[in-house]
Amino acid sequence: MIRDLHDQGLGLMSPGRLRRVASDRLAVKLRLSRQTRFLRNHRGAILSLDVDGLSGRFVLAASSPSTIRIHDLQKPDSEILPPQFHGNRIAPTAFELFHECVCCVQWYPGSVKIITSSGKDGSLRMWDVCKRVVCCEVKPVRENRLTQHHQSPASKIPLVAVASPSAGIPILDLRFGKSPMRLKNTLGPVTYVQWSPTDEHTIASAAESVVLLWDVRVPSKPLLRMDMSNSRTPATTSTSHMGLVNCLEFSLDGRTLISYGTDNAIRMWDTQSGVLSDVNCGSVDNYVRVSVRMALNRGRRMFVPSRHHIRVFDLDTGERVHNLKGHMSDVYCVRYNPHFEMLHSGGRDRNIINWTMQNYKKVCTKAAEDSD
Amino acid sequence: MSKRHHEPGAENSNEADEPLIKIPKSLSSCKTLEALISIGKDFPILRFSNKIPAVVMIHQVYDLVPSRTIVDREMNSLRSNGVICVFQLGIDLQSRAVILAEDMLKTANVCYPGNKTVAKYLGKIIPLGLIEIEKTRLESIVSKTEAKELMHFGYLVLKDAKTYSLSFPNAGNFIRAFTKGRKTVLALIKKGKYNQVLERELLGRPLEKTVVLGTKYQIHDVVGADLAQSFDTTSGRMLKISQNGVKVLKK
Repeated sequence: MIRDLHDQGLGLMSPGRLRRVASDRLAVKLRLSRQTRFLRNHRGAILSLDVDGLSGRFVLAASSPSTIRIHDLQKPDSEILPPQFHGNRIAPTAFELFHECVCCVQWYPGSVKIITSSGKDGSLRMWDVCKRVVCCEVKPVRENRLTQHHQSPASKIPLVAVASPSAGIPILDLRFGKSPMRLKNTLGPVTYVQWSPTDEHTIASAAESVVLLWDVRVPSKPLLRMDMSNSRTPATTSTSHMGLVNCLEFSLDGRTLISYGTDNAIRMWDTQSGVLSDVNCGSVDNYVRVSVRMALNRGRRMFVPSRHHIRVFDLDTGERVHNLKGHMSDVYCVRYNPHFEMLHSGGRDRNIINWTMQNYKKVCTKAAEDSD
Repeated sequence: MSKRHHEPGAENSNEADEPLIKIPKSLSSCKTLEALISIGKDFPILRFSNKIPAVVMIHQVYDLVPSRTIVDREMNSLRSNGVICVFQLGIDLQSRAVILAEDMLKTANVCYPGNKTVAKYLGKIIPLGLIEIEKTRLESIVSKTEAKELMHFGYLVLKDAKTYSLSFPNAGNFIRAFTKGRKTVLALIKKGKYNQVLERELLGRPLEKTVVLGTKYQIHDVVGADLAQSFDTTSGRMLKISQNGVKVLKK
C-alpha cells in the first residue's frame, strides 16, 4: 500500500488505478462491522437493497411482505417506531413506506429524495421520501405481477425497464407515467433486467435461461443472444445457462456482462460481440429461484451471494479470494457502497449486515474520564 | 519433459499424416501439461491391456493447478497446437476427457495396426479440434464405408440424426470403470464421521477391485468436479463431501 502511494506520488500510478488497487485490497479484508449495525427489526426477508449514489449514507431496503425502509448509516441504531393501526391498514411509520408485495427498490440515480419500487401487485411506484408520499403510480402490465425493475443510471431521461412474467419488457418514462415502447421477442417470461451503467441505450434481459442484449432504439429484436457454446450460428435452442438466470450485472465500464444462474455458474460475456469469456469461477452454489443481486467494487472484485455465504471473486482470473460468513440463511442481495468501501447484504434471516474493514474499538481510559 | 516428447516425434516423423507432436517452446513450461502427464502416469494402462490410452478428465487438473482460468486457456492452446485431443464422453454435460496425441497413436498401433482408415481419422479429423462433427462435413473427408468402419472401431459415436461425436476405442469400458470408481470413493467419503475422511486414509485402503482406475486418480476427479471439498489439516488433506456429491450418490 505504501509502495503504491509512493508510485502515485512519483507519477508512476494514476490516482484512479490507486483507488482500484486499494479497493481490491480492502475487498479481501472485509469483516462484520461493529460500528454500523442496523437493529434487527425487519419483519420479513430482505428482498432488495440499494445504496444512494449521491452520498452513500442511506441504505434502502425492501422486506417481505410489504415494507420499504431507509436506514441512515450515520444513525444506525436509531429505533424504528412500532407500526400504528388505522382501521384495517397499518400506517407507515417514520422511515417506513408501504407497498403491497414489494419485490424491488431503487434510488432515483443521483438523488436522495426519490425512490422507485415495484411489486407483485403489478404496480411501479415513485415515492417522495421527504413527504413519504407516492408521486406516481403506474401499472405497466395489465394482469401480471412485476418481478424486478431497473432505472437507467446513464440516461438523462428517467427510463425504467420492468421485468414481468408476461412476454415483452415495457420501458416506462417516469415523466409521463407511460411506456413509450416495449421490447418484444424476449423468449419467455423475463426474470431480470439491467441497464448498462455507461451506455444509455443498452439493456440486458434474462428470461429463464437465455440472456439477451438490446438496443432500446430497436425494440423489435435483440442485438445479441448470449450462447454458452460460443458458436457463430446459435441454434434456436441455444441457451446462456443450463438453469434459471438469477442475476445480471454489468461491469463498471459497461464492456462485460456477468450472469449468474442456478446451474451454479457465473458467466462473463463481452457486450460488443456476445462472446463468452474463458474466465472460470468454478461451481458457485445457487439454488434460490428468486432473483438475487450481486455487487461489484470499483476495482476487479465481485461479491456473489451463494447460500448463506458471500463469495468474493476476482473478475480477471475467476479465483475466489474471500468468503464472507455472517448470515444465518440464504443471502438475497448484496450492494457495494463505494463512498465508504463497505458492503451491505440482506437475506432470508431478516438481517441487513454491513461489512467493513474499518472497525474501531472504543478505548476509554480512566485518565480521560478523570480529566473530564 | 521435452526430451520424452521429442523421442517419439523423431521416430514417427516419416509418416505424412501425423499431427505435430512436438511441443512449441511457448508451452514447454506449461503447468497444465505437467499436471496432465502426472495424472496420466497413475492411469492403469496394463489393466486394459494397452487398449485404452491414459485418459485424464479436464476437471482433474483443477485439483492440481489452482487457477481454473489458466487451465482452460492452456488447454485451448495445447489443443490448437495438436498436443492433446479433447473428447466429450457423455459422463456429464460439462466434463471433457483429454488424451495426449502421442498416446492416441500408440493405442491405435496396438488396437488396429497399419489400418489406413484409422490413420486417416488421426491425421485429418482429430487435428480439426472438434468434439463433434456433422455428417455432411464428415462425408467430405471420409467415404461412407470408412465412416461405418470408424463407428465399428469406436472412433465415432452417433450423437443424434445429423452429428457424430468423436471418441476413442473402448471408451465404454473406461466410462464404466470411471463412474463406478467415482461412486465408490464418494460413498467412502460420505461414510466417514462428519462426512469427511483424510486423504491418507483413503489412499491406504485396498480398493483395486472396485476403483479400477486408482484411488488417487478418482480423488483428483472428485475434488476437481466439486463433488467433494478438500482442505488442509495438520494430518494432511481432508476430503469432505459436498451437496453435488450427495446428488451423484443418490442417482
